[in-house]
Amino acid sequence: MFSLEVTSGRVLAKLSAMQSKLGKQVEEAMIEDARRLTPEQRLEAFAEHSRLMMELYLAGQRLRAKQGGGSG
Amino acid sequence: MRTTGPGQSAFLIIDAIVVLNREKVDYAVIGAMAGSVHGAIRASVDADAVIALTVQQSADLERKFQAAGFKTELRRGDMDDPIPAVLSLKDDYENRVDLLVGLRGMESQAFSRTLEVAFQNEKLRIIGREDFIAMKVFAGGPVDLMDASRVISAAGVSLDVELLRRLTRKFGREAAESLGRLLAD
Repeated sequence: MFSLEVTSGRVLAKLSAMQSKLGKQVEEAMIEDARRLTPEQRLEAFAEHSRLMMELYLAGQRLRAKQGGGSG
Repeated sequence: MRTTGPGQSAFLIIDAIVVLNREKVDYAVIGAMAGSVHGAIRASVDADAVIALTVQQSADLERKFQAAGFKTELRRGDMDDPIPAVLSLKDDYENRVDLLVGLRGMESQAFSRTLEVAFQNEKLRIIGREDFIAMKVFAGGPVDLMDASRVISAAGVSLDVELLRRLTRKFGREAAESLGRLLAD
Protein backbone atom coordinates (compact mmCIF):
# COMPACT_ATOMS: atom_id res chain seq x y z
CA MET A 1 0.00 0.00 0.00
CA PHE A 2 1.52 3.34 -0.98
CA SER A 3 0.23 6.84 -0.39
CA LEU A 4 1.55 10.34 0.04
CA GLU A 5 0.85 12.69 2.93
CA VAL A 6 1.77 16.30 3.33
CA THR A 7 3.03 16.97 6.83
CA SER A 8 4.51 20.22 8.06
CA GLY A 9 5.12 21.40 4.51
CA ARG A 10 7.12 18.29 3.62
CA VAL A 11 5.98 15.31 1.64
CA LEU A 12 6.49 12.04 3.46
CA ALA A 13 6.09 8.92 1.36
CA LYS A 14 4.14 6.39 3.33
CA LEU A 15 4.86 2.78 2.68
CA SER A 16 2.94 0.36 4.85
CA ALA A 17 5.80 -2.13 4.92
CA MET A 18 4.52 -3.88 8.01
CA GLN A 19 1.10 -5.29 7.19
CA SER A 20 0.28 -6.96 10.49
CA LYS A 21 -3.21 -8.39 10.94
CA LEU A 22 -2.35 -8.98 14.56
CA GLY A 23 -1.31 -5.35 14.97
CA LYS A 24 -4.66 -4.27 13.55
CA GLN A 25 -6.53 -6.61 15.92
CA VAL A 26 -4.66 -5.17 18.89
CA GLU A 27 -5.43 -1.63 17.75
CA GLU A 28 -9.13 -2.45 17.41
CA ALA A 29 -9.14 -3.97 20.89
CA MET A 30 -7.57 -0.78 22.25
CA ILE A 31 -10.31 1.31 20.62
CA GLU A 32 -12.90 -1.01 22.15
CA ASP A 33 -11.30 -0.52 25.59
CA ALA A 34 -11.51 3.25 25.18
CA ARG A 35 -15.22 2.96 24.35
CA ARG A 36 -15.80 1.53 27.84
CA LEU A 37 -14.61 4.79 29.40
CA THR A 38 -16.83 7.85 29.67
CA PRO A 39 -15.65 10.97 27.81
CA GLU A 40 -14.58 12.46 31.14
CA GLN A 41 -12.58 9.34 31.99
CA ARG A 42 -10.92 9.45 28.58
CA LEU A 43 -9.87 13.02 29.13
CA GLU A 44 -8.54 12.23 32.61
CA ALA A 45 -6.72 9.19 31.23
CA PHE A 46 -5.15 11.29 28.48
CA ALA A 47 -4.01 13.92 30.99
CA GLU A 48 -2.52 11.34 33.34
CA HIS A 49 -0.80 9.40 30.57
CA SER A 50 0.57 12.62 29.07
CA ARG A 51 1.96 13.62 32.45
CA LEU A 52 3.79 10.31 32.71
CA MET A 53 5.04 10.54 29.11
CA MET A 54 6.43 14.02 29.86
CA GLU A 55 8.32 12.52 32.79
CA LEU A 56 9.93 9.99 30.45
CA TYR A 57 10.64 12.70 27.88
CA LEU A 58 12.47 14.82 30.45
CA ALA A 59 14.43 11.77 31.64
CA GLY A 60 15.51 11.15 28.06
CA GLN A 61 16.41 14.81 27.62
CA ARG A 62 18.68 14.66 30.69
CA LEU A 63 20.36 11.53 29.34
CA ARG A 64 20.98 13.16 25.95
CA ALA A 65 22.40 16.26 27.63
CA LYS A 66 24.86 14.06 29.54
CA GLN A 67 25.84 12.26 26.35
CA GLY A 68 26.22 15.54 24.44
CA GLY A 69 23.47 14.59 22.02
CA GLY A 70 21.19 16.79 19.92
CA SER A 71 18.36 19.04 20.96
CA GLY A 72 15.03 17.89 22.34
CA MET B 1 -0.87 -3.45 41.37
CA ARG B 2 0.07 0.19 41.47
CA THR B 3 -2.60 1.50 39.09
CA THR B 4 -5.42 3.52 40.67
CA GLY B 5 -7.35 4.68 37.62
CA PRO B 6 -7.34 5.07 33.83
CA GLY B 7 -4.41 6.65 32.00
CA GLN B 8 -1.88 4.65 33.99
CA SER B 9 -0.64 2.14 31.43
CA ALA B 10 2.84 3.43 32.29
CA PHE B 11 2.32 2.13 35.86
CA LEU B 12 0.88 -1.15 34.59
CA ILE B 13 3.97 -1.79 32.48
CA ILE B 14 6.12 -1.32 35.58
CA ASP B 15 4.07 -4.04 37.29
CA ALA B 16 4.52 -6.18 34.18
CA ILE B 17 8.27 -5.60 34.23
CA VAL B 18 8.41 -6.84 37.82
CA VAL B 19 7.00 -10.16 36.56
CA LEU B 20 9.32 -10.21 33.53
CA ASN B 21 12.36 -9.60 35.73
CA ARG B 22 11.25 -12.30 38.15
CA GLU B 23 10.83 -14.77 35.25
CA LYS B 24 14.16 -13.59 33.76
CA VAL B 25 12.54 -12.61 30.47
CA ASP B 26 14.47 -10.05 28.43
CA TYR B 27 12.35 -7.12 27.33
CA ALA B 28 12.58 -3.68 25.78
CA VAL B 29 9.95 -0.97 26.14
CA ILE B 30 8.93 0.28 22.69
CA GLY B 31 6.17 2.45 21.27
CA ALA B 32 5.17 5.85 22.58
CA MET B 33 6.94 5.41 25.92
CA ALA B 34 10.23 4.73 24.16
CA GLY B 35 9.49 7.59 21.79
CA SER B 36 9.10 9.94 24.75
CA VAL B 37 12.51 8.94 26.09
CA HIS B 38 14.13 9.46 22.69
CA GLY B 39 12.54 12.85 22.13
CA ALA B 40 9.31 12.16 20.24
CA ILE B 41 6.53 12.97 22.68
CA ARG B 42 2.92 12.71 21.54
CA ALA B 43 -0.52 11.62 22.64
CA SER B 44 -0.97 7.94 23.37
CA VAL B 45 -2.81 5.79 25.88
CA ASP B 46 -1.03 2.48 25.88
CA ALA B 47 2.29 0.94 26.80
CA ASP B 48 4.18 -1.59 24.71
CA ALA B 49 7.23 -3.77 25.02
CA VAL B 50 8.86 -6.50 22.98
CA ILE B 51 9.89 -9.65 24.85
CA ALA B 52 12.51 -12.27 24.03
CA LEU B 53 10.40 -15.41 24.07
CA THR B 54 9.00 -17.93 21.64
CA VAL B 55 5.27 -18.15 21.05
CA GLN B 56 5.23 -21.47 22.92
CA GLN B 57 6.95 -19.93 25.94
CA SER B 58 4.54 -16.99 25.95
CA ALA B 59 1.64 -19.29 26.91
CA ASP B 60 3.47 -20.20 30.12
CA LEU B 61 4.25 -16.52 30.75
CA GLU B 62 0.57 -15.70 30.32
CA ARG B 63 -0.24 -18.02 33.23
CA LYS B 64 2.36 -16.24 35.36
CA PHE B 65 0.73 -12.89 34.64
CA GLN B 66 -2.71 -14.29 35.46
CA ALA B 67 -1.35 -15.57 38.79
CA ALA B 68 -0.04 -12.04 39.45
CA GLY B 69 -3.53 -10.57 39.00
CA PHE B 70 -3.44 -9.31 35.41
CA LYS B 71 -6.24 -9.85 32.92
CA THR B 72 -4.59 -11.38 29.87
CA GLU B 73 -5.19 -12.24 26.24
CA LEU B 74 -2.70 -14.03 24.04
CA ARG B 75 -3.21 -13.55 20.32
CA ARG B 76 -1.16 -15.44 17.77
CA GLY B 77 -0.35 -14.07 14.34
CA ASP B 78 -0.55 -16.17 11.19
CA MET B 79 2.51 -17.36 9.27
CA ASP B 80 2.86 -14.10 7.31
CA ASP B 81 2.43 -11.74 10.21
CA PRO B 82 5.61 -9.85 11.22
CA ILE B 83 4.39 -10.06 14.82
CA PRO B 84 4.34 -13.74 15.92
CA ALA B 85 2.11 -13.11 18.94
CA VAL B 86 0.93 -10.39 21.31
CA LEU B 87 0.29 -10.92 25.00
CA SER B 88 -2.09 -8.16 26.14
CA LEU B 89 -2.29 -7.30 29.82
CA LYS B 90 -5.05 -5.26 31.41
CA ASP B 91 -6.25 -4.16 34.82
CA ASP B 92 -9.68 -3.09 36.09
CA TYR B 93 -9.28 0.47 34.75
CA GLU B 94 -8.82 -0.32 31.02
CA ASN B 95 -5.10 0.34 31.34
CA ARG B 96 -3.31 -1.79 28.83
CA VAL B 97 0.13 -3.19 28.08
CA ASP B 98 0.86 -5.08 24.87
CA LEU B 99 3.87 -7.40 24.92
CA LEU B 100 5.05 -8.28 21.43
CA VAL B 101 6.43 -11.80 21.38
CA GLY B 102 9.20 -10.96 18.96
CA LEU B 103 9.15 -8.91 15.79
CA ARG B 104 10.32 -10.18 12.42
CA GLY B 105 13.50 -8.41 11.40
CA MET B 106 14.46 -7.30 14.89
CA GLU B 107 17.80 -8.76 15.97
CA SER B 108 18.32 -10.32 19.39
CA GLN B 109 21.17 -7.90 20.14
CA ALA B 110 18.55 -5.16 20.40
CA PHE B 111 17.92 -6.37 23.96
CA SER B 112 21.55 -5.65 24.86
CA ARG B 113 21.38 -2.16 23.30
CA THR B 114 18.55 -1.04 25.58
CA LEU B 115 18.81 2.18 27.58
CA GLU B 116 18.17 1.94 31.32
CA VAL B 117 15.95 4.80 32.47
CA ALA B 118 14.83 5.52 36.02
CA PHE B 119 11.06 6.05 36.14
CA GLN B 120 8.74 6.10 39.14
CA ASN B 121 11.40 4.58 41.40
CA GLU B 122 11.98 1.69 39.02
CA LYS B 123 14.44 1.00 36.23
CA LEU B 124 12.99 0.47 32.76
CA ARG B 125 14.88 -0.93 29.78
CA ILE B 126 13.99 1.21 26.80
CA ILE B 127 14.65 0.04 23.24
CA GLY B 128 17.79 1.68 21.89
CA ARG B 129 17.42 4.75 19.70
CA GLU B 130 18.58 3.22 16.41
CA ASP B 131 16.48 0.09 17.01
CA PHE B 132 13.49 2.34 17.77
CA ILE B 133 13.90 4.31 14.57
CA ALA B 134 14.34 1.15 12.49
CA MET B 135 11.16 -0.37 13.97
CA LYS B 136 9.21 2.83 13.35
CA VAL B 137 10.37 3.03 9.76
CA PHE B 138 9.34 -0.61 9.31
CA ALA B 139 5.91 0.09 10.81
CA GLY B 140 5.67 2.79 8.18
CA GLY B 141 2.46 4.61 9.14
CA PRO B 142 2.38 8.42 9.13
CA VAL B 143 2.62 8.65 12.93
CA ASP B 144 5.44 6.08 12.98
CA LEU B 145 7.43 8.04 10.39
CA MET B 146 6.83 11.26 12.32
CA ASP B 147 8.13 9.58 15.48
CA ALA B 148 11.20 8.35 13.60
CA SER B 149 11.82 11.79 12.14
CA ARG B 150 11.55 13.48 15.53
CA VAL B 151 13.93 11.04 17.19
CA ILE B 152 16.42 11.52 14.37
CA SER B 153 16.21 15.29 14.93
CA ALA B 154 16.56 14.92 18.71
CA ALA B 155 19.62 12.69 18.31
CA GLY B 156 21.56 15.21 16.27
CA VAL B 157 25.18 14.26 15.59
CA SER B 158 25.09 11.43 18.14
CA LEU B 159 22.89 9.30 15.85
CA ASP B 160 24.75 6.16 14.75
CA VAL B 161 23.74 6.30 11.11
CA GLU B 162 25.72 3.23 10.11
CA LEU B 163 24.06 1.13 12.81
CA LEU B 164 20.67 2.55 11.90
CA ARG B 165 21.07 1.70 8.21
CA ARG B 166 22.19 -1.83 9.06
CA LEU B 167 19.26 -2.41 11.42
CA THR B 168 16.74 -1.00 9.00
CA ARG B 169 17.99 -3.19 6.14
CA LYS B 170 17.00 -6.21 8.25
CA PHE B 171 13.40 -5.04 8.04
CA GLY B 172 13.45 -5.13 4.27
CA ARG B 173 14.04 -3.05 1.17
CA GLU B 174 10.98 -0.83 1.60
CA ALA B 175 12.03 0.11 5.12
CA ALA B 176 15.58 0.85 3.97
CA GLU B 177 14.28 3.11 1.18
CA SER B 178 11.93 4.87 3.58
CA LEU B 179 14.84 5.52 5.95
CA GLY B 180 16.87 6.94 3.09
CA ARG B 181 14.13 9.48 2.42
CA LEU B 182 13.90 10.43 6.12
CA LEU B 183 17.65 10.95 6.40
CA ALA B 184 17.70 13.02 3.23
CA ASP B 185 15.02 15.42 4.55
